[in-house]
Amino acid sequence: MNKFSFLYLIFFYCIASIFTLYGDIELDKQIIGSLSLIIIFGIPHGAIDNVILMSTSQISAAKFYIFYIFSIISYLIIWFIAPNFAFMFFLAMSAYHFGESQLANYNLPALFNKPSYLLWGISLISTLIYYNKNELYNLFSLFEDTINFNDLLQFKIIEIIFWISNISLFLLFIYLKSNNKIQTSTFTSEIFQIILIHITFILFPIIIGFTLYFIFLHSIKVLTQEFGYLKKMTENLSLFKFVKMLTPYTFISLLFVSIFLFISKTQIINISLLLFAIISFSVITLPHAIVMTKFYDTFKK
Amino acid sequence: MLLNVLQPIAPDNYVAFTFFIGYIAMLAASVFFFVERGSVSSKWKMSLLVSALITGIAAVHYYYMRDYNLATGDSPTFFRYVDWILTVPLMCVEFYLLTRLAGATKSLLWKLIFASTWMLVCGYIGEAFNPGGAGAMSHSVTWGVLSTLGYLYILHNAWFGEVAELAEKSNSVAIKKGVRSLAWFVLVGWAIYPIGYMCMDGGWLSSVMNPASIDVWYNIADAINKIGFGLVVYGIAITESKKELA
Repeated sequence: MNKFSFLYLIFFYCIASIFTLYGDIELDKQIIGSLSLIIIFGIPHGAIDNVILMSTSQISAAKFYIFYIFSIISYLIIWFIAPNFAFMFFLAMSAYHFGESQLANYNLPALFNKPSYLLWGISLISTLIYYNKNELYNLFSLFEDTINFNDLLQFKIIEIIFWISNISLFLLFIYLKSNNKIQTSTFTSEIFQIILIHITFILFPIIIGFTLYFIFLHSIKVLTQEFGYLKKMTENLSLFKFVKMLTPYTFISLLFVSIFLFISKTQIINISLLLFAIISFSVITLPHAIVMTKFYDTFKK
Repeated sequence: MLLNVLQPIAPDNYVAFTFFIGYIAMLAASVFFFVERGSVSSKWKMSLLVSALITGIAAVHYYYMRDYNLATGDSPTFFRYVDWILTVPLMCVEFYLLTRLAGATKSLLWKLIFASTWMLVCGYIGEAFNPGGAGAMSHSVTWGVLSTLGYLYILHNAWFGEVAELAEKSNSVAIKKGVRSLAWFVLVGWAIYPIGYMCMDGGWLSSVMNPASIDVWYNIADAINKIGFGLVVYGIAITESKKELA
């Protein structure tokens, strides 16, 4: 178990207590709680992509902004032209990104690392959907512009992907352990986390389950890695200075989110809040995932 | 007493089945640890004695719990907590004994004993009493949260805190691995207790696991946690004793 799993466990017990006391947590309260954590930890973990990319790739600020904005606009165009493809690409890209952040610091053999990242992420996302298919179906059915996503998530296919990815992941870890590519402590820690994630996704609603994973096993972990990396580059970097670095783009992101929320609420653009959220997260994830791939390449040097 | 009890036991009474197994297994483990004190060096005799005490105390309580359950059909909550309040602090004592040579202080010992006692007293108040009546959960949840604080303290200590640091500081691979194994017991093995707490009547997980069958899981978990804990300590003691002789 690592410190992130420990934090995860604390919040797992907290949420279990809330469920025991109240029986259920209403959807709007789930969304408020989830968004609060995303604002505090989720958005900031991508808020220094500029610092990270400029230090890993030696590019100028201008080139960074061109890359970032170009990626966002390109993906927005794809959403406009082929929304189903954009949605599936978002799932695949997220799977790779989550898997990379989970496994990158283990220095897996070159042959294994990228397929392992994708496998881990597919296992995560298919597990989330598999255990919460009805809830997700109902969520997408709430709005006209998201109901088509249900056709993309055929349960039979999800079920097959769920079993194949989870069994393959387990076999992969056994192979890596038995060939001494990973230590016993890594093996047990990873298996424990996978089991914990499964239990979370079974017991809790999809929004809570995903938020727990995204905040504690992904965002906070990445923030810690970024802090450690920048501390090596800047000796007198304190936690306070690191938080100060995160603040500007966190606020800019929140500002853009507020503007688009206003546009959506006032129907200036006819789009549901759910689709708006999915598109927003996806267009930000694309450049962020590319930056983080460059970042994690430094772990291998 | 025994003949009167044996006849009415149904073959699918897994609660009674596991009580019988638990009682005998704990007793056997206790005898084993006590006898094996003779196979280890003097530094490790206390650790094995504590292991023997843990399983011995549990064996006695399981004897009574078995009869109580057969006579009433109820879960022996009272006896369980009496057992845990003695054996769980003793398990925490094992952490101190293992890391004593690496510099563990009496202060660590008392902190762990206090945390484990806190965990169990709060858990007992939450589980055994319900002033709000059947179905009211606020009392149980409040004391459950307080109890979990003690559990999380011990967990943190075993994985990241003083116990983990002392184990790392020790020059022994056996102690490092052993303390890590015990930390896994606390994380996974002891998790059955908060899970079982949440499975009580009206609890959030009572629909996931039948409250009537929780005793089966408690019995299995108790046996694994106590005997397994002792076996890890035994493994360390034997390895270190052999090193001293070599």
